[in-house]
Amino acid sequence: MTWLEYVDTWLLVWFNRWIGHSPETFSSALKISNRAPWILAAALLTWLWFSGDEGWVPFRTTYTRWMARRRVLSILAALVAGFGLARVAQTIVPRPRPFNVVALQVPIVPSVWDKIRASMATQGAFPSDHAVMFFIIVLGLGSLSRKGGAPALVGALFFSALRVGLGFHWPSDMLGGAVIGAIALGLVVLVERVWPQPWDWVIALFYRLPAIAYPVGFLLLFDLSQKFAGLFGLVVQVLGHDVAH
Amino acid sequence: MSWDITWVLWLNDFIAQSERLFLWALFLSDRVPWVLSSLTLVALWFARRQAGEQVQEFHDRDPVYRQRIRVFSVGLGALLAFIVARPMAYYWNRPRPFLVMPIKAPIDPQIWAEIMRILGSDGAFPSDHTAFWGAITAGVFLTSPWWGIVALIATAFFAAVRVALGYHYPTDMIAGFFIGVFCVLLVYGFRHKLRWLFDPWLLLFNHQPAWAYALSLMVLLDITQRMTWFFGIMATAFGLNFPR
Repeated sequence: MTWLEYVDTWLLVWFNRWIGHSPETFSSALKISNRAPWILAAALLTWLWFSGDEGWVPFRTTYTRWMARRRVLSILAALVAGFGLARVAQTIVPRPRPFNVVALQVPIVPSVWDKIRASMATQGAFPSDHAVMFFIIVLGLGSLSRKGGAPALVGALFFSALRVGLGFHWPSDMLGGAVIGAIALGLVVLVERVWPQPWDWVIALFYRLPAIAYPVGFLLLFDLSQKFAGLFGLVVQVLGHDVAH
Repeated sequence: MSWDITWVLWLNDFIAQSERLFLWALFLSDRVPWVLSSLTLVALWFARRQAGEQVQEFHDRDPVYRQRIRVFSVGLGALLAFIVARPMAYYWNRPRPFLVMPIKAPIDPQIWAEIMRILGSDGAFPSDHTAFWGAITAGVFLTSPWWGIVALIATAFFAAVRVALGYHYPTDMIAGFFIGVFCVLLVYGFRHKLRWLFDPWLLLFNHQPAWAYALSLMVLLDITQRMTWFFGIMATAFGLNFPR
């Protein structure tokens, strides 16, 4: 066993003990780790979109609303790039899920647990898609507002711990996801700095055609809150085969 | 009423031609109209916005103020419609068509049995779904009559889908629709007397837009989930369990 495997397993078992000590805690962790982070992500992006000072000079906060909106668009673009990178990494590093390797405490009905395991069977553990999403949002938010970034970081660590404790991921999967998220956001923000015109064009649409642009934006956030079920459904229709997500 | 029954059977015959068509009807009757309702509310909120994102003057002269009051009227009207429709459904306790009529369902019998089990205990008259959609349609009409006609056609379509599935009779849908419309018009008619309720929320959107819009997103997402969180809170906090 390498040192990484040792640390991974030790942390995994420690978090699992914390979550698996009662059926109630385990069921709550399952419920919370499923949809809640995605809904919170959508709410955070909305918060960021309408935060910042109006006009061209920030006076109450450290950034203008225009800057905040550019960052929201960068986060959305980074999410697409990050998920793409994560999918590539999953094919390069085929790693089994912890629940298939380590004996974990799972105090729920076995048939329910088997269903959950089956739903994740087609996807490898490394890196975690969730961690990609968590850390893109944390870094995107934190790069503008440390006040906003700090609670988001606490939330990201909490949700990451939940997914490790449930046996869905190894701690290093979350770390890998965070690194991929950081790379994706870094690249997109670099493009945003060098070539901001596409960002500004999209933001201007929200001022010129709000009754059309905002419903489209809402649809995007709704799909984000559904773990991109609509987007992946569309990809499946185009590719003609199933895509695990 | 015989036409009530005839319409249910005729529409059901139409969608029961194939399993695919019936599954489409189930899909369309489930979440789609609720997602569209949320989208419509967003479009209404941002419609007629001439400059900036805020209410400049808390008076009917301000087009943004006028429009947002309409949206609040739709929200409050929809809530009122629901409060009116639920006790009516309980009082009339009209059995759903699929319980008393030979409704055809060319899908897995287990799935259909589960749907019947969930909906069967609930009265059919009036439909609270169309009460909600009626409220939204009334809001769209108040903003733009042309778009109001589009909303009316959409409501009629989704109502027909629920009739075809045997969930409701046409009279349930018509009654629900008019309850929704009436409640919105009632709230809108009394909008000047309800300023104490609406204006503080509008102030919140002016002064704390980030928090106000994030909270609104949660409400809209809950509408797309057929108000699961709202009913959950009602059940947990007040012990009120509404069959849906």
